[in-house]
This record gives sequence, C-alpha cells and structure tokens, in this order.
Amino acid sequence: MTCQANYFDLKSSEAYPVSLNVEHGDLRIVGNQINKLWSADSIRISERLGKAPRTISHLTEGFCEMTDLASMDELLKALKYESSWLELVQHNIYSALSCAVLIVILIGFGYVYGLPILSKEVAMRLSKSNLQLLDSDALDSLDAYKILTPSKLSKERQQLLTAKFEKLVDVSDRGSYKIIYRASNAIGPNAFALPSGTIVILDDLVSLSNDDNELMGVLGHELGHVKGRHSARMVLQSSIVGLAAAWWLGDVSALLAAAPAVIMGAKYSRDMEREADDYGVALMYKNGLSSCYLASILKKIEDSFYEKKQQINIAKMTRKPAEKLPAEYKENKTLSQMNDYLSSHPTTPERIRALCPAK
Amino acid sequence: MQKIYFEFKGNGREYFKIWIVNLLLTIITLGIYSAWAKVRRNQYFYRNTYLAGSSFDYHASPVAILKGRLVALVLFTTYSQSIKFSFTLYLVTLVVIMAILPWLMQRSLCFRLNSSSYRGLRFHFAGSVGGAYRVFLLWPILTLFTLYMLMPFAHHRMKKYQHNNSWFGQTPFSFYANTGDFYLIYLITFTSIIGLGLLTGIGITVLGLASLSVFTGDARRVLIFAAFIYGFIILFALFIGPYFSSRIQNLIWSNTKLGDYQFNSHLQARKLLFIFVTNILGIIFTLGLFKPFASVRLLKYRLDSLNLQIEGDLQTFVSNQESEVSAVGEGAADIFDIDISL
Repeated sequence: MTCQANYFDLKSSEAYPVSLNVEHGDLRIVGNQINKLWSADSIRISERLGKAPRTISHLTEGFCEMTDLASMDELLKALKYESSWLELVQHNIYSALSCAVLIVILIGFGYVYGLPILSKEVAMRLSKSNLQLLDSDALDSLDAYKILTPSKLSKERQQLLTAKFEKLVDVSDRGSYKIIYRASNAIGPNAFALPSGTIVILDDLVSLSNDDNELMGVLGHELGHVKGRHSARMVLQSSIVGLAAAWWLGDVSALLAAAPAVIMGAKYSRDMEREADDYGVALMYKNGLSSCYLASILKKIEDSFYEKKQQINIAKMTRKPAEKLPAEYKENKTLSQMNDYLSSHPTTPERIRALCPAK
Repeated sequence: MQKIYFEFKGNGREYFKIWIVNLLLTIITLGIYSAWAKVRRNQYFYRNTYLAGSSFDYHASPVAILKGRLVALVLFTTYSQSIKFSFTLYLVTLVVIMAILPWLMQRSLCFRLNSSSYRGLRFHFAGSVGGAYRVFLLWPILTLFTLYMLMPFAHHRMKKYQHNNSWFGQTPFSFYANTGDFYLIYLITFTSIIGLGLLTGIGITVLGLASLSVFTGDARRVLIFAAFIYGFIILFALFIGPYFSSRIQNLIWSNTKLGDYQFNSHLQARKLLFIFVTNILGIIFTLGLFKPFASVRLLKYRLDSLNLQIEGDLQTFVSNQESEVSAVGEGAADIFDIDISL
C-alpha cells in the first residue's frame, strides 16, 4: 500500500511529490532526493473532515499532504491508527441524523422542563432592584401608548381598597407589593402583577364586582403571583427563548427571532395559576373570608370576556363595519398580543369549582 | 501571464455532518465546545480551499479561541448591563472598551493570520498597535463627527492597514486601492437608497390614487401598477446590499498583491443576491437546518470568484524563520493570543 503525497519542508512553499510506505510500523517517505523515516510516535495525523485533504506531520521535519483519502486509509490501517469516535460520528450520515434527533429532543426537554426550573431558580435569587429592572419599562410604555390610562376611581376609594388589603396581608409581606390603579379600554376587567411586585388593578374590574371581598380575593391571587415571582419567571423564560432563537436564526433577522419568544412565552402556566389561587385562598381563610369571593369575581371576568367575544363574532357574521366594534377589538395585532400577555387569568370552570366547591 | 483560480471543493452534505455534531456538542457543553467547533469548521473550510493544487490549513488552538470568547462575553455583558445601573458606569465601561478594542483587534488579526497556512508556510500580521488605534478608533470616531462623510475613507484605511501588514512567509501583501474608488461605491449606494425613498413615495401616491379610484371602478388596474412598483422597490432594496458587498470585495481584492502577484475578484451582485435570497428561504423553511449548506454556497461563490495572476509557474515562497518558531510550537499559545472574530 503505497500512498502518493506532497511533502512540504516548512522552509518554502515547494511541494515535493513523495510516496509513503509503512516499514515495521514506521513511516517511510521516498521522493526525488528525499528519503526519510518518521517513527510512529513522532508523527501526528490530522483528523478526517469530509473529503478534505489530510496531513501527516512530523514534530520538526514538516508534513505530507494527501488528497487520495482511500489509499491514505490503507496506510493508516498499516500504521495501526485508530480513528477517534468523533471522526466516525462526523463521517456517518446516520449518526449525523441521530445527532439532529437528539438536538430536537434536548431542545424539547429543555423547553418543557429545563426552562421553567432555570427561570424559577434565577427569579428566586433576584434582588429587589434586579426585579425592578425586569419591569421598569413595561408600565411606562403601557402608559405612554395609552393602553393604560389614569384611573377614574376617587383617591379615597383607591386608598380604602389598598388599606383594606393591607390589613389582610402578613406584616412581613407588606413591603413586597404596591397596588396601583389604572383604567384600560384595551384590556378590560383584569388585574396583573409586574415582576417588581407592582399590582395593577383596572377600573373595569372594580366596577364589575359588587363586593370588595371579591377584589381582596383578586389582590390575594395577584400577591400569590408576586410571591411566586411568576411574572419575573415569565419575563426570564421569554428572554431565554428569545436569546436562543436569536442565536439560532441570528443570521436571518432579529425580527423573525423575536416571534417565537412572543408566541411561546405568552401565558402563565396552569401551575402558576394554581399556586397563585392557593396563595389567595390561604390569605382569605386566614382572615375568615370565603374563597368563593375569588370564584365569583373570576366567573364575572369570564362572563364579560365571553360577552365581548360574542359581540365580535356577531359583528363578524353580520359584517358590521369596524367602527361599530369596541375600539379595542379592531384588528390590532400588537394589542391583541399584549392582551394575551396580560390576561393572566385563563379562567376555567375547573378553577372556579376548585375555589368554591359548594357553588 | 496566467490566472490561477481559488477553488472551494467542500460541499453542503459533508459540512452538514460536521456542523450537526458540532452543534450537539456545543449544546451539551453549554457553549464551551463552540471553540472546538470553530476550529473544526475552519479546518473544513481551509482544507477544502485549493490554490494551484494545494490546500490551506488552519491551526488555531481552541483554548485560545475560548479565551477570546470569554473576553468578548465579559465585555459585551458589562457594556449591555451597565446602563441599567448608572449612566456614569455605562460611560466608564464604554470608554474602557473603546480604549482596549483596537488592541484586541490587532491581537485578533495576528492570531487569525498566524493560525493560517498554505503549503506549510504560515501567514502573519505585522500591523502596529498604534496603527490599530488609528483605524479602529480614531477614524471611526472622526467619521461620527463628520456626519459619516469620512466613512469610505475610514473603510479604506482599515483595509489598507489589514492588507498592507499581512505577510505570507517572507512575502508581503500590498494594497493600493484609491480612497476615491471607495467614495464612488459609497456614493452610488447612498444615492440608490435616496432613490428608493423617492420611489416609495411614488408608490404611496399611486396607492392613494388607487383608493380614490375605488369609486371610479378603475381600481384593479391601478392596484396592479402599485404592486408592480412595490415589487420593483423590494427587488431594488434587496439588490443594494449585494451590490455594495460585491463591489467592495472586488475593489479590495483587485487592488491587493502578494509579492508581484495580482489578486482579482469578480463577484456579481445579482449572483450574490440570488444566493442571499435562496439561502434565507432555505434557512426559514428548514428551521435552520439549511445553515451549513448556506455557508458553503456563499463561501464557494466568494472563493470561486477570486484568482491570482502569475507569470510562468507559481514561485517558491520562502518561510519567515522568525515567526515559524512560534508557529510550530503548538502548546506555546501566548496568553494574549485571542480571537474575537472580526
């Protein structure tokens, strides 16, 4: 098994044609006025990369470059050279495809199991100022784009509700949240919590309830989100997804990369909702209030949501001109996405039943 | 006088296998393997690049690349996070980064050329640190202060610094493009963008007309016309990028010499546009799996468009003994041998 190669001496770019043979386990190099014997332990063999030329190099005397990989394989067999597992994997289409499958599985597992755990671990370790960094712009931009407008509730009413809730909360938890009041056409009757612990309660929700204990239930639920750092976890999760997507599709466009993050990280998980409900319920019980208050306000939110949805459907079926629709339901992508993100309560009958079995 | 062409013999299917293994190992090691992945990728690309029957090779140490990546990561994180804490801190970080970046760039150029070889001879970079501060700091800052009027000039000086200070063994590269030619390409690109703005204006006017003619019943014809104009605008907008990058690469390489040998580059904007567009579509429709094929296609076209003009046979180049010493000693990676990928 003779192998043709070009020998380079590292002193010049001259290519010397040589033939390589194996002699008692060592490498014999013969060419015009060249006759060398390289011992097996003084040579290094370059890794196989597709059909690219490979080299056998000596510590000091230069190297041989081979383009005929088949005859080189024969030579390597005689040299008792063993390919690394990486070379074998990189060279085989089935192992390459297995790698692809493994990557998909890893990403899937990472997304379903790893991501929530990771974001929870990180969120729980964040300091108060770090949490504020996570939401500082959110409220400002919601205000700036008039998605949130100043509340029409009187100052006294706001203070009354805030004070009422404060009485329910453990003394040690009193600094961990802040309630603010806003109105919103776009979002409807709802409340939501930001990573820093700011709880935003909307006018429509306040007017939807006819018992302040219902609002206490909602606030308790939101405080549950705050204590569990659910909002921070969601922001972290979507940032991680966004980063990964940007890295993956980076060369295409940042815009494309942002899309999956928005779509995938939109809602609190069921577990988070249950955790927040549990927290709210515990808070209510401790203060001698029934959790049915929370159930009844959830029912009202859901009803009002379906009512609006039906309005739209009817409007669509009867092809009413868009102006007749409530302003918030005009085909506004960003708004509806925003709405999804903020509608922290996918109210389901099960949740209501769990909160108030008697009903 | 004859031309010898660079030739890229790699293919997407081969590279896909290397790429996917790299990707898996990078994910499993949480990114650490990416340095080794980069070495494998470059080795595949370099070894498949042929000139006069021999191929190039890449010898970088993955550890040096990993160090470079860590430095870049630290710099980037400090820079992007500092604004959230205080503006003073942000300014301080910015100044510090700007102060060390040219030096890092110079090290990176040294590293990259030192890691590359052809026929056993290493390339090397001899640009001074002072020069790096001029082309990576002074001119870009002056560019900002002159409303980008100096941008083509700064670009020219940067390429001049890179190409005039590169060596292959004992043979120097030289660069003699005119600043004026850079200005011309920038001017044409700039006017195209302005023209595009005007066209868009016309398009909007036509659409306005179209909405008016809803009442006259002639809407369809006007809409088709508007669609035609917009189609043209999009095509034109897509064309500007490939136009600019093909002309600049042609200008740079067609004005570069290795010793007495002249390089020539003849990229065509429309072919580049075709590759860009099909690559992006391929990547989108395969959710990224087309990426290795895309890289190979682009590199292949770029390299296949490059040639070297020689007389008689390719001369014998001689090694630069001095730099060869450090190049052979594999383990002796200087602590400042870092690669931050320009």
